Amino acid sequence: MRYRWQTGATAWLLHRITGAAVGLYLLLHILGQFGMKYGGLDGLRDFLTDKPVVVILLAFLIYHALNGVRELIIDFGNGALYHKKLFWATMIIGLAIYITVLTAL
Amino acid sequence: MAYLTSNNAGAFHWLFQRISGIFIAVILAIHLGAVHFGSSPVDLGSPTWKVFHLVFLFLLLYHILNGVWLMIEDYVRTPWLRVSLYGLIWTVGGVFLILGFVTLVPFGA
Repeated sequence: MRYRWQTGATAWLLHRITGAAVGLYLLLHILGQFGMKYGGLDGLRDFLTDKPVVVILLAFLIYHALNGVRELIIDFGNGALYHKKLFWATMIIGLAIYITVLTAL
Repeated sequence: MAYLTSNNAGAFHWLFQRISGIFIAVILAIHLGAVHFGSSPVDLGSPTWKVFHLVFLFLLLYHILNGVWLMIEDYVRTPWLRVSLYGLIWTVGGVFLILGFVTLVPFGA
């Protein structure tokens, strides 16, 4: 039996990966602000505000938030009936938000 | 010790993961707009912003660590390791809650 890359399972896996990465970033952000208040951890703050890191973070964040909304529609609405369409709608809306945010960077 | 939670705990966490997620999305958008992308500086030392960020801190830590726990439930089968990681999650939560508090409460002072 071979694993098939289906939309729902892929969206779920991406939700985990982006969630883990954004979660780690935010924990480090809390740590960095603690360092800002009490001195130290300059290297950590430099890393977190490094442009490539921010560009990746925002992509992950937007995906995680919008796929979260998609999951809400599936769980509490009737989104299960059209979850694939919802996924692609999410991707298009996410891309639009991403481009807008990047231009403001 | 296969289960560390009561029968209803899973359902509560399932629901609160969604509720906290909704609040985080709204709070994060405000946080990003005001603190990171804002054109005019805001006074993060004001009581309103402190309460805002304390609520943010709590919801975020819950959402992150509950997410981590869901992954541990899926991937970690070894009982002693699962119990250890459960303890580690609570430790990390406690430590970061304290870190956040001691950063936020005297903020701007």
